[in-house]
Amino acid sequence: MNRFANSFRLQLKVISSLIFRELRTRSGGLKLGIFAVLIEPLLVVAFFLLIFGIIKQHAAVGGLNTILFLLVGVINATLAIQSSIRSIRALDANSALFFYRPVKPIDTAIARTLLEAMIYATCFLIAWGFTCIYLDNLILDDPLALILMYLLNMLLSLSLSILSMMATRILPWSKSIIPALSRPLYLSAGVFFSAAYIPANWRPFVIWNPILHITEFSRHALYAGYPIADVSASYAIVTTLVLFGLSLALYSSASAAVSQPEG
Amino acid sequence: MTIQAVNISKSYRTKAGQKTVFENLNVTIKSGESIAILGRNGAGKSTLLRILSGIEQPDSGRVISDEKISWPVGTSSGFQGSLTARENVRFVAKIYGKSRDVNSIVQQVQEFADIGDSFDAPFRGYSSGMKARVAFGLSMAIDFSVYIMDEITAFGDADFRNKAAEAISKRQERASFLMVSHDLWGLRLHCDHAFVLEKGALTRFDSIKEAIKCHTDTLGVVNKHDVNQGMSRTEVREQRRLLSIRNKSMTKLEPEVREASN
Repeated sequence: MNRFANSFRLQLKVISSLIFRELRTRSGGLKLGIFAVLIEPLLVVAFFLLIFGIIKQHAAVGGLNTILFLLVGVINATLAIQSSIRSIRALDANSALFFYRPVKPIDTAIARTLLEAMIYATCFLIAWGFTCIYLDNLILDDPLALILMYLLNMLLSLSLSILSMMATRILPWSKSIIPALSRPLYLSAGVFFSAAYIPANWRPFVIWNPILHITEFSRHALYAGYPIADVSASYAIVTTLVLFGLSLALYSSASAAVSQPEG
Repeated sequence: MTIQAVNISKSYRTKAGQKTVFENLNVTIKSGESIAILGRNGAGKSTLLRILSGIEQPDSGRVISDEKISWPVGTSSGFQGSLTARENVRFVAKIYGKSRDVNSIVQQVQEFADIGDSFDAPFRGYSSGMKARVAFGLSMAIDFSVYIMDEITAFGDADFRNKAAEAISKRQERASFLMVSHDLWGLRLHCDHAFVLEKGALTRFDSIKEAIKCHTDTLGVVNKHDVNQGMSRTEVREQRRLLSIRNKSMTKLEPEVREASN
């Protein structure tokens, strides 16, 4: 038990050091760099908002403010998909780290997911806060559900990033396939549509995507009047747990291949 | 016993096919021993060091060890080019040391490296001598039972070598050393025993003198073989010309190559 606690503590230490290192690298060592890290996701939201504003002039989707509607979609989908795409290059980018024996490939995946999750959560809070102030209305009906959905999405992101990390190492040609595969995942994630507005006979084309379920539930948590059609939390939970188990099984059976430099 | 490798084999896939580095090697390093590994370029010394340090797995066989082993300390491997030496050192200190020791480790490395303001400049701009100072200083600031050194003393000036020699002999009282170096004089100073790695086989020599003699003998044979065998004068001249063209184009390429590798 003591041994388990020790290795757990070591892993926590490694992960926290990795997060600081990654943050330092991304912010370019500048004090203002932290803003640069945050501004990128906010710009994506602003861009979608602009496009959305041009296409249709609705002030709300399903009763939920358009800014918040898009914000939830962009944050959730980008977190899940960005982490899997970043993981393709992560092994090569981090190869210097595996010189230190305590650092395992899964630590870099965990650190990256946690860091992305913190960045996107901060972005969400900033944009949500400003919107609420602007509307002079606190839009949040079920904070617990919102947090749980975000945690679920973090687990999903971690699973996807471990899976893509393993895939690129075992089958090097998948490096070019994964970004292509992530397109339909992003497009069906409900970033700019609501499942309830899709006709029932077209719904199967998007409803397989667990990110869509997480996104729709998060919107429902913000505003209880937001309609959720064919969306089930248990589907998102089961899919995530299956993917997580799959990624861990793959990792533990082939981790020796991952930590080695490409020969 | 500190490290024991039993029947380890390693091969790599290359475009030309499977290349065997070594097969069924057995190595035992006892605590307190200082061992040199000799062998010519490409003999697999660095691969062996990586396997013994535990950052790479052998294809078959096992490495058994119950001690705290360093990473293979080299000039730049393991350092992130865009971060400063201080940030790199902090990161490694956090992973290997206790959290209350981090600041003192950073300070020790800074004192040992003695590179002034450059300690807070991005690592990628350092000369190999500066990199060696930081990398070596960092490994010495952390308390390992076995230190693995890959060509670290080859770079740097006399001042650095003297400091390194001093640090090594101080540590040798408690720790084992495993060193690869082409600086044969330095090895003679620090090591009690030596292994010669040649054609995938490892031979142990109890006297470092004998090992160096064996090593230089094989090198001598290899050189003669490469340069003289069956080559006419024109062929030699042609080869030199090609080499000089390659070298020139390499120097032209160098800045970009350096950029990319960072």
